[in-house]
Amino acid sequence: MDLLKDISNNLQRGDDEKVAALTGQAIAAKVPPKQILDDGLIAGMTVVGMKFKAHDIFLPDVLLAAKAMYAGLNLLKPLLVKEDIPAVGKVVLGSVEGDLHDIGKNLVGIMLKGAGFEIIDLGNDVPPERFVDAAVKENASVIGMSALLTTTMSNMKKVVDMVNERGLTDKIKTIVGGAPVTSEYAGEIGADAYAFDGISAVDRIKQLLGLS
Amino acid sequence: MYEGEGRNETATPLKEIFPLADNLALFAITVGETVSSEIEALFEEGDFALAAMLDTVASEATEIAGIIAERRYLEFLVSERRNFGESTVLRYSPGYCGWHVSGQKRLFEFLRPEEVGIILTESYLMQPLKSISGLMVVGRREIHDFEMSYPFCENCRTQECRLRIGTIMKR
Repeated sequence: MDLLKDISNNLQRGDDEKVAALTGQAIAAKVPPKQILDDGLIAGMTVVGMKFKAHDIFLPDVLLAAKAMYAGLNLLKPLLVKEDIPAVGKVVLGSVEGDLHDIGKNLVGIMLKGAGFEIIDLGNDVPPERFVDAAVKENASVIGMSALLTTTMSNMKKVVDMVNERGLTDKIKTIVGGAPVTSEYAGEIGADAYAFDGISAVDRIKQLLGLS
Repeated sequence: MYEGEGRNETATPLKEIFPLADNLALFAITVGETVSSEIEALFEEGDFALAAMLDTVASEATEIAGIIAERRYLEFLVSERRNFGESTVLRYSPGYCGWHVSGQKRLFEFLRPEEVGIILTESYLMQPLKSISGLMVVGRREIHDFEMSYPFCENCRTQECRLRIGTIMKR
């Protein structure tokens, strides 16, 4: 459908006003909201993610596209709720206890929302039990943790251990990231995945949940 | 003061470096709360690109303020008619290179950064977020050139220490 292709193309260009207008047109034309989301908005963000990974575009381009995505998503959200269309998955996000840095975590949240996930953002300086309690309460499938300091990285392990101790490993997967964190460290502490940036976080979480 | 709450790694570069220093100075610097509030507001408004760029600029500004403080400190020592011809200065902060972030507690007790508007949270982190603190070490440049053989180096992806040490080695 040309309209959905237009949404996708304008999203890739980061034109939030056009994406909002076109999404409005698609809604008025009775295109199913889920189709607008999947074949317009998410399709556009998927291309943006691929271009970013190929180094064809830079982070500000991705974030402009994300802003355009949100412009369309805000119009669709009430319809998706009304039709009881579930999110792709639910992710609890936060910067670990002792860490106030949240820019990276925010970017991961933006990318995940852009991919159709529901995000429970706990903010920064989040104690281990708050991560796990929130995931259980919200019935989230993934806990995403960020740390910027080598001295706070160890708090990621506390969350992973707590998920294990409470016997939640089948229900809740853990993913870690942040400037000093490596995939080796993720393996060492028993996290299910490591993500280098927001785009790879989307890929890893989709893999964890068997969505790709 | 360096021992802080007794939570540092057993072996750290700073533990070996600071006894070799000619001069030491504690520091705390902030670019203030306004920029952090603006970043937060931009995120909430959905201006993600602008928010991320402003965050990067604010972080860089804080680092540059640190570099300026280092220079001023050296200038001050020179003005005191001391011989620092071959010396250089480098900053170390709690939270990095095995110096546990809880080291902030004693640093704050001594330096009182509250006077310039920086407060310490219970998790030993500073607010405003765009703040830095730590120890400036003045001495021969060689004393800073440590091997990356500490256990925590294995888990560190940024290895920014190499860039900073590389910079003073070129001076």
